[in-house]
Amino acid sequence: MLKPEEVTSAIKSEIQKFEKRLQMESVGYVLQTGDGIARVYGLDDVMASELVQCSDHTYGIAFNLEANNVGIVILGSDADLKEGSLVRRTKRIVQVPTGNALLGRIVNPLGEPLDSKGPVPAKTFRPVECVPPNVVRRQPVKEPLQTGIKAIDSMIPIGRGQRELIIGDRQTGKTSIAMDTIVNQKGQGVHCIYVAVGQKLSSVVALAKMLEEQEAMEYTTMVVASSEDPAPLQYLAPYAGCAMGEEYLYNGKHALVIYDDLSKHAQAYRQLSLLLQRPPGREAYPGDVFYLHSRLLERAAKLRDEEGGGSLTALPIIETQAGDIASYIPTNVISITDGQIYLEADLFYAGIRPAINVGLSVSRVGGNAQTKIMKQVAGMLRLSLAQHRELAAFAQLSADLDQATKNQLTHGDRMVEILKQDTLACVPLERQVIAIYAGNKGYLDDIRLDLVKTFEAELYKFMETKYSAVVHDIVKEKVLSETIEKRLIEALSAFKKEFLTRHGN
Amino acid sequence: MKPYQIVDRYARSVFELAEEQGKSETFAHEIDVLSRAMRNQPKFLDLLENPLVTREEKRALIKNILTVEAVHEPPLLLERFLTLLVEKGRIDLFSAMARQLHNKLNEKRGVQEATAVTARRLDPNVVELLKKALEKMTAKKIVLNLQADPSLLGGVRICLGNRLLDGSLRTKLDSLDSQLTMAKV
Ligand SMILES: Nc1ncnc2c1ncn2[C@@H]1O[C@H](COP(=O)(O)OP(=O)(O)OP(=O)(O)O)[C@@H](O)[C@H]1O
Ligand SMILES: [Mg+2]
Repeated sequence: MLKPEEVTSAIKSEIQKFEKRLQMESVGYVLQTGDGIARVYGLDDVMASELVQCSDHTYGIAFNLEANNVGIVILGSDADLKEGSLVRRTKRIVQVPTGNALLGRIVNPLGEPLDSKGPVPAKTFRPVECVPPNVVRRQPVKEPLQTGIKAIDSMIPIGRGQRELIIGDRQTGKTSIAMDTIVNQKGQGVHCIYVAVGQKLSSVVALAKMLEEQEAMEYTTMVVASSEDPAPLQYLAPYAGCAMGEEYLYNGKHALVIYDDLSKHAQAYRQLSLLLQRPPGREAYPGDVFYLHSRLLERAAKLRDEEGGGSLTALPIIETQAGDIASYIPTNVISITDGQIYLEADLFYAGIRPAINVGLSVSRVGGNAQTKIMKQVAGMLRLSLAQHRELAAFAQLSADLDQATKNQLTHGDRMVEILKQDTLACVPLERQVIAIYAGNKGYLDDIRLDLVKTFEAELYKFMETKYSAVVHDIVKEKVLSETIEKRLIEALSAFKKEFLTRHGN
Repeated sequence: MKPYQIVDRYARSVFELAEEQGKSETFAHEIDVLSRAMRNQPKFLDLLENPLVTREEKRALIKNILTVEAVHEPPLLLERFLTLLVEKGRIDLFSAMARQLHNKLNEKRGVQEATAVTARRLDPNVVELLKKALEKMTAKKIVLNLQADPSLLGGVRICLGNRLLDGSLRTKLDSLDSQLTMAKV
């Protein structure tokens, strides 16, 4: 009969023989590798999402901790990783450099430079994953973040600390809105981080050049994981960008992070999950794809004044297919964010640019994030424009309309026209107020549609030369007081008379 | 396949094999001994799962631990079973299989195991009474394991397979406590 003591001692002596090979606290051996994934034996006590070193310059992240192996995603090329290669623990979560050393730089999601300006001399580092500030540490969004785009600042205002989704089909001006917003932050004390996920390198280069020309690179960092980078890097990029923004958030400063775009991010994550054999769910995305984005976007916040009052604003971008905002990833992100700017291909091709569908776009914290004067001037604008769109669609069907409807249509057409705006043509607050006030009060209604843009441009010039005091007061007081309104009306009447004589209408 | 199904399938097959050879009692005993020894030496399981240790080394290893001096008849079935598990990568389920085999043997003998937890050691007469009552209830022979747990305060808590008969004072007091706190509202 087998006796317990004897078996135990036999086992002990066998273990001793293999003692050397059992010591695997901080190293592991690759069992299998391919597609940017490695299964590793060993690495005892490795932490979830810990950085591991695969070879001299290649790192990986411990993704799946299983009973007898660790699934690792490799950040970079897996070419020199073979079965039996050694993998070492680093005992830290993935970190990125943060702070002012990153301003004006283009880096990859690990913070390594991609431009030709040499190494990044960062003094501070932050882990890419971070627990968002809790309820007690936050305060409601209250300061506006001016995008410089009339249609957005007036109807879908964004506040510092808000998360506003930009959603639309491809080539509908999503990136342009984000870029304009960055350019408009010049001198506002907002540090911008543009995260490019899965984009063509050529378009990234073009954006960098554009920002450079606009002198916006001085306060901007670009985090790039382009389409030919491995999926793990694309997966990491938004978190890395967010960590860079958090450095400002927690030091009482302001940051704006743009994730362009999260659809490609979700696809990169889907690829990783499927390769790691996690069970696929709807549209083959893994079950935790909601958490993937919610934990990222929850990190945007406006902190209480006692905490320094810093803010992190997030502008995620989602690309839809044929305008379908009801598919999986769009609905997820819509439900996480504080509102969305919905861009429509039809409007874009009809020449209404930015192609914002006013009816479907909202800002759920809007009111408090808007300056008083803009709220006074543009309060009902979104609603009336949405109505105008419906009316215009209806009017196409019927031949004879009564005069009231016709007037309403003309007015609406002028408003649509004045809200059109080219890229890189940021409009400061006072000009926006003047233009929208003029439009709302009907000063444009008897101007020919093709002259509206000229009217707008000349109006700005006129106001700033002849009525600079009014403009100055608008900037300073940010409230539409009775005196300001009276002088504004006076200026507008004077300008219109002059404009009509010049253009004869 | 779910782990439970795997465990059951392996356990059933090897049990039937042991029965055919008329050795189910010895085999169950051997498995019991081994699983206890493995529980004491958790590194041994690591060793058997380690992909860096070759197949041959593992085979030799299993042979070595099972051919201890005092055994006249080497446990051939156990050795083969263990080798199979290692080679199929199912050795991590070994302890679950051991438990399942144990249950199978009990089933065959018409025995049901039960655990009675009490605050203090029970009087032998009471134990006998309890056993009778349980045997009447289950219509099986009962093997009663006794455990003492002072935190129960009084009464008895009986685990019968997957069933729990809880007559302990602690549970009654707890439920009274939650009722009273609820009533406050
Ligand atoms: N307000 C605008 N006025 C005129 N042209 C615009 C405007 N907004 C965008 N465009 C032009 O439309 C094109 C597409 O814009 P953009 O790259 O921003 O779109 P996108 O939705 O980001 O595209 P993609 O799906 O490729 O990322 C660009 O050539 C841009 O110059
Ligand atoms: Mg784009």
